Amino acid sequence: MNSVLSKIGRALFGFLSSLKLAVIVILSLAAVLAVGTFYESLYDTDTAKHYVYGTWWFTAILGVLGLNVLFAALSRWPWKRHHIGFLVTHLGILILLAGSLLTLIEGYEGQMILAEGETGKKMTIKEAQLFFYDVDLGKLEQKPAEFRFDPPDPRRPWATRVLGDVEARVDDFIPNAAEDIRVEADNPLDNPALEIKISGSRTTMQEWVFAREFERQRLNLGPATVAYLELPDLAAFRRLLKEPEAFAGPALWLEGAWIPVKPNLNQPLKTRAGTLTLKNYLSNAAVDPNGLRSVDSERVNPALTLTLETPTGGERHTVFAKFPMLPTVHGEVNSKLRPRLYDFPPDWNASDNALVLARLENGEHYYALKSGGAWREISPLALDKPVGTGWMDFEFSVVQDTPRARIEKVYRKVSVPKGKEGPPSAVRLALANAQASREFWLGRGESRDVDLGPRRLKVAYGLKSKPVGFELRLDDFRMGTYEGTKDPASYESQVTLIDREAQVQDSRLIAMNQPLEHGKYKLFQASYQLNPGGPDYSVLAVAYDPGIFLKYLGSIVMCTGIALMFWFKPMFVQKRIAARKAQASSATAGLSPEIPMEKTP
Amino acid sequence: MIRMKTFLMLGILFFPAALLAEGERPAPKPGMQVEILREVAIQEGGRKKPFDTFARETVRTITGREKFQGFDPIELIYSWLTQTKAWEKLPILDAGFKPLQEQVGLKPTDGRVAPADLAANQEFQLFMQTVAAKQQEGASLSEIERHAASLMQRLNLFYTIASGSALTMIPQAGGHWESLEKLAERYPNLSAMQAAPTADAKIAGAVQGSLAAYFQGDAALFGQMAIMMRDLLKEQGQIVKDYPSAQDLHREIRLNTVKPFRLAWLGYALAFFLLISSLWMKGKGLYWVGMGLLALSFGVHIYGFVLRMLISGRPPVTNMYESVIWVAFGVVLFALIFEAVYRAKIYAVAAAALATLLMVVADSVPSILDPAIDPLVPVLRSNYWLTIHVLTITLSYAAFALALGVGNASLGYYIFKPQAKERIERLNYFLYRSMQVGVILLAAGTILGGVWANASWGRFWGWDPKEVWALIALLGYLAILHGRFAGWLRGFGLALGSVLAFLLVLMAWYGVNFILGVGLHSYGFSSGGATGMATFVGIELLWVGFATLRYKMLFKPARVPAMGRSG
Repeated sequence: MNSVLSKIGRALFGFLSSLKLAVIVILSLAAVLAVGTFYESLYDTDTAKHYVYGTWWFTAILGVLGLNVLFAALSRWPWKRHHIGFLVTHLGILILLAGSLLTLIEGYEGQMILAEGETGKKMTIKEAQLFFYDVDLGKLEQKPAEFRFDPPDPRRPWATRVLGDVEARVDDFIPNAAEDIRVEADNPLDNPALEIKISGSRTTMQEWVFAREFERQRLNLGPATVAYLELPDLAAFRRLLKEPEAFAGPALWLEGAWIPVKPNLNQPLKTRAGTLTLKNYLSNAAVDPNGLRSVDSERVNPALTLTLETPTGGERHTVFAKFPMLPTVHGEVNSKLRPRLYDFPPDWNASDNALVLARLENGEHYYALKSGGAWREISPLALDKPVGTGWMDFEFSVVQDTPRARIEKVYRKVSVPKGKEGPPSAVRLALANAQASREFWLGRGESRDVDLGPRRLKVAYGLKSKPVGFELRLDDFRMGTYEGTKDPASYESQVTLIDREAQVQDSRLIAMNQPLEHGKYKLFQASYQLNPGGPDYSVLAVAYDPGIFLKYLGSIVMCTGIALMFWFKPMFVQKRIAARKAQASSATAGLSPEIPMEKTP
Repeated sequence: MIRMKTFLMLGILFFPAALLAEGERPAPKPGMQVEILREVAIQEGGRKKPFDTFARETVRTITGREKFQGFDPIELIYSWLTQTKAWEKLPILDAGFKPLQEQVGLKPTDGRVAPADLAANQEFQLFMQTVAAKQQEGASLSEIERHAASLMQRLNLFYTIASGSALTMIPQAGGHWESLEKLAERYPNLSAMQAAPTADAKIAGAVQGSLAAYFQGDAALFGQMAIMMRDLLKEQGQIVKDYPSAQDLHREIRLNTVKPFRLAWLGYALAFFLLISSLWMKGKGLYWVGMGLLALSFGVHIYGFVLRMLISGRPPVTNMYESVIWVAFGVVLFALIFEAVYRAKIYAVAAAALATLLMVVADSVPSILDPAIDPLVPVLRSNYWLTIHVLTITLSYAAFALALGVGNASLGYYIFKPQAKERIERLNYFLYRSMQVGVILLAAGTILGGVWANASWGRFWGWDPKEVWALIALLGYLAILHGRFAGWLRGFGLALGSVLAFLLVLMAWYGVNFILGVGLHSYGFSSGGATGMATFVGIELLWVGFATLRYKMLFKPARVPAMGRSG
């Protein structure tokens, strides 16, 4: 029994340390790698990683290589001086493989995308996740939801149970999903929307405009631009057309008077009620532990804070353009003031052909048409009644008037040329518990409130993120160009590194070939987006690679070993030959160290 | 005063194109000293270069050759500027790609089409619209579309030259130089120049004077005007503190005119014939003459490199053209070192042959291997890494190329002179030595690439095709070395391996950039040359196949005679 085992053991050892295995592994590795590069050429790097480089069997080939290298070295025991090169080389390979394994298991990389002025604390990792949040319990659950290579379909859905008793199921997936909208009329809040049709002999277009969805307030439709604005009364509409410059942006309507916001910020204004001061305008207001702040410069939720000093005291108001029904004063104060914020698109009057649709406070609709740069008379709007526009032979009509519109996002598959970044993916998600079930599409980067009976949930679909343990503020992004051209010569991000724990606050430069190292992370300049008129974006790659030291060490050891083997071994062997002149033929087959001499003719 | 006089004398439009009679074929004009203008600087392609370089590059791009119909490139530019109407009806745009000709119905003369004909070709314009749309969205183009796009580029280049808008030669403060067209707009005529006699006005006058003198065939006046134009532009450049030194300009003109790389391959080719003849000669005389010539050509080769490095300010391995020349350099370098150690002859022969082949290729297909010194993408702007990573990797290609050369020679001996056993054994030993050098350089270069990648892209190894193919090539040679160690690959197998494994090097070197065309090494991407490469690979494979069959016939029966015959 014992002898059988030792026989098997010896045979196995012999096989694992054999040159035959070495050549087989080397050649199969080469073949697999070649296939991998063609995958990459046909699809992309991620696909090649998923189907070749990142698979278990690829790691297994490397594992066999490691064993072979190890046993080959052991099989030379007892080691002689002339083995040095060979041993050092093989040791180097083992260290290199160990480093790679460590990177594979422990390492990760991601991105930090910062706009100028923005501070980042987290890195995003390219693995999609679904986030489920119970609003009442304050409980969050995350599930990995990477469907790129294994998309679910109705016959083979992806399903999981979250937050106790909620069944979550994904049964459809679009890798690159363009967003479209469907308008439903079931919004509990006011949200006026009109569906506009513009038709001419050549073409017909139909599109929704929204008065309070500010990104969809103005649109280009065929030959003209269309804007849907809310206004207090007809006189205000007339004034709007007469003084378009004064209404290119947010304006406050207070006791029958217009106050354009931007020129009057932080200037005391005398009104009948007292001294009014417009404090702060936020284009996309959000509540934050420190109060109200603007998330970004997009016009999504415009808000204005203002104070009114009266002889009897002061009042502080916050006015939201999107929610005029909200009381503007917090707390118990009983104010007579009824401020209303209107947020006009800055470019509603910019084109020569335009249509402005106005919804007055009393719910009536009017319109004004502009063709060739001149406004025509304001007229009342009627549903389904085509009106000649003066833009070639186009007519417009209002197909639907939906005062309580809700936008339901729907997604459409688009094909993206190779090597281009397309729109993000979308999933069709179904949530169900004993009381109710909901089904909807969710695009990556979107979140949604879902009520399942009494339970209030929030779901989001996004990339995994990870705090890096320090803060990084992008102060400036610069792109250098070659003289006389627009070709980039350099990219660099001037950042401030803030690490509260280590009490570091440093100004640093991240540039091509000049990464920033902090903590366990290295940050590199990966990409950028220039944004004329707005803040530029810098894309930093963030990497944590615990195996890098071993990889470097292994590389150095391996290269030293190869050099020893190629140049010093012949020297040792030659010495030995010199010592044993009689036996001219060396025992190490094939490594004939002596230079074969040619006979002189 | 002389200036004023010439102004008055000329008194014609800035670009007197319309004055040429229809149908007249422009020819070089006698006595024009266009070489005066060679050292005028022009800001183009992200750097300042001599007008000489610009003219050569432009003429090469448009016509496909540097010397077109006997014109000096600068004179041809002058001719295009002054005789646009005549030129646009003449076949000058390189349109040699047959499938494109058929696709859009071009009828080229001598592989070229006339700009006016192309501009009026509805089919071509229509085809270009789809190509432009594809380019816009970043989709990859088919071969025919790529050729259409470059033809369009040639057409545009011709007209931007003829209008003067591509000739950004007027130094301006702030970095963006002004074109002749813009200058002409500011100073359309003599009165405008006299109204504001600024430095720019003087330049405008000199430029106009040189054009008019060229047009009228007045060689003496042209010489005067050219000198005036050259000096005024230089003066203006020095005022705005943005003008290359005379030394830099002359250096580049020297590279253009001396053509050291061409001289080098001529020398290599001659050295090859001398050295290969010396194999059959008794005595060492011819061998030493050949070696001397090889060394001399190598010196010229290095001289070219040094000029190029001084001009570009970076190591000469930033594009395919440079890497081909660098590999040729490496091949000769290793051969000279090995020759010094072993006196093997065969190294020198193989190196001379390979270097000639490589340098001829580099010298003869500028549309594929572009010799222009262009700006680098930001990630490559690190001389430190370029030097240690790219030079190492490409030197390994050189060592493997030398192994390929020796391997081919060895195969030749096996099948044509199998009785020369000792010589074959020596060849195989040399082959083995070259491979060893290649392996250590490739291993080190690949790893250094990883170290650089870690510093620029944030990872040591990212499965980029260029990295992967370097690794595949390395694995290929490692398999051969292990096979040799195990005794499976003896002489013939080793020679065979050195040839076949070099195909992996070609894939890593050329294939990744020209065939796969993906990955982060995208700065080296290009297209074309597939036919030439396929021919080379095909010949090698046929040769290897033939050698194997012949080898089997020669050696196998001797080993197993009885079985083979009776069975």
